[in-house]
Amino acid sequence: MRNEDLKNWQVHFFSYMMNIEQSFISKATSMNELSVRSCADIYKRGYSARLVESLGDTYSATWWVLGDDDFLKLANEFVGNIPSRSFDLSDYGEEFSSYLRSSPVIAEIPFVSDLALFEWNFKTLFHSKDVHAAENIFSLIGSNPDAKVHLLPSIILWQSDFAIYEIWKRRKGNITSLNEIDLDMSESILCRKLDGKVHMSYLEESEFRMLKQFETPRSIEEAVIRYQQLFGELTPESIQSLFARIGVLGVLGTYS
Amino acid sequence: MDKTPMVGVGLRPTHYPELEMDTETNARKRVDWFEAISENYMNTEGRPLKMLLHVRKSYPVALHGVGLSIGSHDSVSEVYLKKLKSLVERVEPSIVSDHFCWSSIGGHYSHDLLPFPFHSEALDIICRNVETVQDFMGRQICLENISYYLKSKTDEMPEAHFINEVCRRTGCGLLLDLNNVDVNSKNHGFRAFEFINELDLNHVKQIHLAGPSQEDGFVFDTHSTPVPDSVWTLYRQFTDIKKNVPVIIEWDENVPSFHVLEEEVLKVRKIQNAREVHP
Repeated sequence: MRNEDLKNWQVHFFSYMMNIEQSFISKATSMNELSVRSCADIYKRGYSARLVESLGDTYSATWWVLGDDDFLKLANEFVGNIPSRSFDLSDYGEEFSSYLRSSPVIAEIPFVSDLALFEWNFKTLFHSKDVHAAENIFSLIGSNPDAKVHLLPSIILWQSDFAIYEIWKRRKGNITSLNEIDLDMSESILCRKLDGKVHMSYLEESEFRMLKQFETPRSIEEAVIRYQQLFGELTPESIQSLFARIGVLGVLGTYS
Repeated sequence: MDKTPMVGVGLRPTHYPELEMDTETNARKRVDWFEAISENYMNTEGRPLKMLLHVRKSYPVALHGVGLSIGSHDSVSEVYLKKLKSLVERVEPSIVSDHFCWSSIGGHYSHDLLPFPFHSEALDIICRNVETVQDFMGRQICLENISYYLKSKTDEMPEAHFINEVCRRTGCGLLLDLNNVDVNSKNHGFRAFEFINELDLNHVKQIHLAGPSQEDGFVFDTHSTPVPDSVWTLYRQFTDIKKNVPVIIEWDENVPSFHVLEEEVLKVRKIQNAREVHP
C-alpha cells in the first residue's frame, strides 16, 4: 500500500495545471516521442481553455465591448488567479465583475464591471426556477396585515449608473451601435424569470426602492416605515398608488 | 433470437431546435435512445432541463456524468450526489454513468477527466467511492475507461486489471469507450484488441463510439470527427465476442447536423445486422 501517493499525485497534478509548481513532471511518464512536460501541458492548456470558454459564454456582451484581445487577456489572467470551485462549469466566474472593477480597463470603459455583473445575474436567472406570485397577494395580506412579504426568488432588482440594459441588448450587433445611446443614463430594472424566459422591465425609482425593502421578508407596514426612514415621508395617497403599481407586477410572495 | 441492442446518440444543445420540432410533429428520429451529460441538467431549471424532460417522454435516456470525480482522494461530493440523485429521480434513466478518472481535489475543479495511478491505494479508494455512490443512489453505476496522455510512475498493474477489479469488487458496470481504447493504443503503443481481451466483458453495459483528431505527435480524444475505421474494426471484433450491448455515438466538437449522426447510427445497425446473419 502506497500511503498518500494518490493524494500527492492529484495535488501536484492540479498545481501543475494551475501553473503553481512544476514537480508533477517528475512523477509522470509520457506517451509516444513526446516529453512529459508536453504531455502535462495538454492538460494545462485544456484547463485554461475550458474556463476561458466558460467566461466567454457567461460574459458575451462584456467580451463584445472589450474586444478579443482585452477580453482574452483579462480572462486568462482571471483563470490563472481564480480556481473553479464548483462541479458546474457555468458556475465559474462570479468574481469576474469585481476583477474587472480592479483592473486598469475600468478607466477606459467605466461601465464594464456593471455590464459583467448584469450578465452574471442574467445567467443566474436563466437557470432559476419559475416562481409565480400568489394571486391577490394584497387580499391575502388584508386578512393578515402582519404577514411577511418577500420578493420572489425568480426576481433580481438591478440598478446602475449606466445604461447597461441598452448596451447588453445591442451585444449581437456592431459595436458602433453604442454611439446611438447615452451610456451614462442610469437605470432601475426588474429582471425576472417567467415561463422559461428572462424578462426585463424598467422601474420608477420609488418602485425600485420599495421593492428593495422586500429582499428581506417584511410586513407591508415595516417596509413602508423603513422606506420613509431611508428616503423621506410618503403621503397615504402615494403609498396607495405605489402599492397599486407594485401589485400589478406580481413579484411578491408571502409566507403563509 | 437475440434482441437488437439500442443505438443512440449524445443529446447536444445544437440539436434542441430540431428535436423540439420533430416532437411537435410526431416525427421520430432514427435513434433508439439518447445520452445526456448529467452536469448540463443538474444545476438548472432552464431550457436545457425542459428539453431533456421533453426528449425523455419519447425516448429512453442515459445520464452520463463528467464531474463525479470517482477517483478523487477526497471522496465524492455530497452536494454533487444529492443533485445527481434528484436528476435521476426526475429523468429515470436506463443507465447512470461517469468515468474512471478524477477531476477535483481540495475543493478545486479541473473540469477534465484526469488519470490516476493504477495501484492498490487508488484501487481501494475508488472501490470505496463507488460503493458510496451506489449505496446513496440505490442503483448500479457504470464507469467509462478514459483516454489519457500521461501515466504515473507508480503504476502497479495494467489498466484492464484495475478496471476488472473495480467492477468485480463493487458490482459497478463498465461503459466501454472503444474510441478511448483506440486513442490510448496509438498514443501509448499497445494493441487495442488485446486490451479489450484483457477486460472481463461480462461487466460491459454500454459502448461509446466517437472520432478523435490527429494532433502534432499524438491522437486527441476530441469527439470531433466521424468514427474512424480503426474504431469500427474494434466494434466488429467486440460484437464477435459480446452482443446486445447498447451503443451511443458521441460527437461534442464541430457537431454536425442530426442527419449525420443518424448515418453513424445506421453504420452500427449494419454491423449488428451482419452479426445476426453471420453469427
